[in-house]
Amino acid sequence: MRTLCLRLILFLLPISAEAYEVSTHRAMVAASAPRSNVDALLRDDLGFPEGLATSVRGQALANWLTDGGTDEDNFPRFLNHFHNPLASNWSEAGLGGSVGQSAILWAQNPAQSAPSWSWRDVRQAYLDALTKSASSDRDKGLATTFEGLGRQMHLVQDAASPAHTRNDPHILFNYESAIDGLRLREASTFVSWRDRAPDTPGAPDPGWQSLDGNPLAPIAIARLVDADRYTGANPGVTMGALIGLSEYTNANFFSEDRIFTENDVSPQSRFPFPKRSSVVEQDVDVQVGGATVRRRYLVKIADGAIGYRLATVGFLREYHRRFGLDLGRFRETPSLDEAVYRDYAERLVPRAVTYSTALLDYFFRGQLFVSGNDVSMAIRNSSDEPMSGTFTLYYDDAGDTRRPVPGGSWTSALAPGARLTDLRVIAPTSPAPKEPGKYMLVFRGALGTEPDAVVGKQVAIESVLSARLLKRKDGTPIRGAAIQAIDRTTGQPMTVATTDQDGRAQLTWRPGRTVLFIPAVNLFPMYWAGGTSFVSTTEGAHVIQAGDLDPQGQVTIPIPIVDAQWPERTEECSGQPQFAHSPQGFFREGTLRSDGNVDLVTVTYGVNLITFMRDDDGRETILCGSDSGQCKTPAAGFVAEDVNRISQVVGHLVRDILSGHIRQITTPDGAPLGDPVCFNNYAESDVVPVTVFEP
Amino acid sequence: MSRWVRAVVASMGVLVVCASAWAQMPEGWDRLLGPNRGRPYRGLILDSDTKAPLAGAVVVAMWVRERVYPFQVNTEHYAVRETVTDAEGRFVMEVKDIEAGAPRRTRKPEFLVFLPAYGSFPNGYTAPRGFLAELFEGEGTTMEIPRLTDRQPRLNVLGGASPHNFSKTPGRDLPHLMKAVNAERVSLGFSPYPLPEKD
Repeated sequence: MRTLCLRLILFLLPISAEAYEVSTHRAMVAASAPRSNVDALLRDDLGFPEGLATSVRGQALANWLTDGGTDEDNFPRFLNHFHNPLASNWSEAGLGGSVGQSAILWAQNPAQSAPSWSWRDVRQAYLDALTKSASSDRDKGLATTFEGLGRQMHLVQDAASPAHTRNDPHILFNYESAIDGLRLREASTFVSWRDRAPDTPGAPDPGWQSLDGNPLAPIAIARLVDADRYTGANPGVTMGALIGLSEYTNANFFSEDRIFTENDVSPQSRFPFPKRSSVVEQDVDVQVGGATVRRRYLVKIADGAIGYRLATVGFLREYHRRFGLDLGRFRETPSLDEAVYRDYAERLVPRAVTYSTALLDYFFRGQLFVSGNDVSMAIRNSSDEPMSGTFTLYYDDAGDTRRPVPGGSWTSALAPGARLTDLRVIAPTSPAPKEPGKYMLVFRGALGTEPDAVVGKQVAIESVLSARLLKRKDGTPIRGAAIQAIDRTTGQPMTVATTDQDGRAQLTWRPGRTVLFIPAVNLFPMYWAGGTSFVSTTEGAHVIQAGDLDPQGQVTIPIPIVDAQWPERTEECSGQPQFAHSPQGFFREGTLRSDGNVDLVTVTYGVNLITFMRDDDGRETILCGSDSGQCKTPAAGFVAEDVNRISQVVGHLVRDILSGHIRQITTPDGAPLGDPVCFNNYAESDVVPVTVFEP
Repeated sequence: MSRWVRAVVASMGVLVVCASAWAQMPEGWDRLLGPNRGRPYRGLILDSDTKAPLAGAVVVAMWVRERVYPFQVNTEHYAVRETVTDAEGRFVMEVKDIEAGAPRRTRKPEFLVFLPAYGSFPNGYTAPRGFLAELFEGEGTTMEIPRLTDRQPRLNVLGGASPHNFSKTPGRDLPHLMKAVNAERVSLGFSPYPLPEKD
């Protein structure tokens, strides 16, 4: 009952428990964000090229962060923003011991209230931001993530407010209201505090992440606030870089109602430092209402941080001194004036900003790196801590719906720098991705000592296939042949490769958008239409799907290598072809007769013009003319579809052609013996059918 | 009810009364609206290098009020207003309707001065320096802001000038600031904030 009443009384007191006023928090959170790595991470790892300036749900992510830093003070959350680092137990380190929860426990308490903004809740929001199917839900998750982080940063910043580390439910005007007033009235002074480095270089030492966890608040962020290194007897340790912010603040600063309370009877308000031996008196000229007055201060010279005004001397100091009064019995009541607050802020505001920046970076500390392609992909843990959990690939379809990639999830434990290798990704095609090859890789699991960490990384995974070209007739590899993967949507070639000794070529492709083009295995260009079929345009070409690939990621294409075949007449005099497929042909052959003479056959061929005319569309291809060096085979007029027409007539040779045939008996020396046996000259056109055949 | 409990309850009653009284007391600082409330705010905005007047600078005033609960004092948004400097770089912001009827413990406004590609107030101004307690009150204040050419300082200014820092519905309350900030965002390669925002 007594405890309940005490809680009620404390609850009803008009304490200004908002620590730094909300506008000060907003300013400090806003200063932390650009100092952190989060802007670069958003741009480089998560696919938000505008970084913190990215507009999500109507405002920039930076604004969601500052909104969180502001709204964390809403009723009645502020009651849980205290942490006494000297409490025997963190469960008793909050306001009034246990009236409010310690800020450390509050930060990790998933049952805060509706909504709850604990670290775990923020993690869940981040997971939603990366994995929710609807883009509006992902946006909500991202906004919630940053708002939640702003709230978490607020809790860290409160540890740089003396009253919040010395269990002081301060009333009326205090350090925080003074700083906010100065922020408004001396903007440049506040900015100089905000942008200053902590008085201990390197604070906080990154080692805080590795300190042993406290079971009450096991996530390492607790150590940013309380590293459990300051015991109440060792204030010097608070000037090291590895120290909790509340420890530094508690040991080196006063709050309004906790001044020289080293001998206080209540353990809730007994703080051993700073103590009287930590200070000396010193006169300092200060400006009051435009006038310069000399005021005596207690300047801190020992026991941790030194060299600043800790408090004014008490108003009754001279009275005490003159009458030799015992300060233990007659309280001196030093106080904190604006000059003291300025000295405090010069040291505490930089720490608040720096420590809350560290928290932000800690949230996004996980690093992933992906290499390889869909046939053999590797995921590397580029973090400084081990990862143990599930790595899942997602993609966005044309409607911005995020979907898990079928089969694209792997559970593994990876030490720092270790890789998960030989992963096969079946690139999704149904529904088709908005941007083929672009994925979001999401890790969920233990990162170091944090059990449910989330890491996101936008990755580009090239889809690679191995195309193997074989001669259909005998299955031998087709070597040195060019092959192209063409994006059917754009018509542009994606990759060009040449087959190796085994007939294989590696090609980058986009599942559901790629066709294969084989320009020169035959004399005519061909698009693969599946099986042993080919077409001459992309229409009708086979769009490669993941299912076309065998387990090795290979697609095998048997190609009929065809040629043209047509009949030739035999000339009766010479016994040779009546016409030759050659513009300037000449033939001579002698046969030794039994009488010792020679039967000499001489043939000359000439061509005015040979064309090949297709039967299906009448298209004519000139094969040679009188000035040609040689004639092309009619197969040059074939089209890809003709390979499916083996033994069929696909067109005709149209020939305007000449030839002369002479048969003459000669002596062995070549002298003619009498008239020719026969001679014929031809100048005519003929038309002969051309058949496709597979040699 | 035991005597002890009655004593505690009575004490609580006294505490509540005292607490409310304390909470209503002036702090001794003049950041609350005083008897001069309702008078216009005036200013002159100059280029700090050329001393030329800057037309089109957006001046935003935001008022917060201290909300006194039985258990704490907190601040919450009360009102926001904007105006734009004229060709001579001057502005006059009439606030009678806002301040005359403002609830008790309404603070004097916080100001933002923003012009694309310039330093802002309070982030990047060069004058006045020092104490700014009565900024733009009375005869007004001459403020100087520098032209910024580098990207990073402009980004810093942009971050502090977000309309959402001043209103949950800036598209409705601060159209000039929204327009100016969007112009600067676009100039720096960012997409503009959507308009109107979802209320």
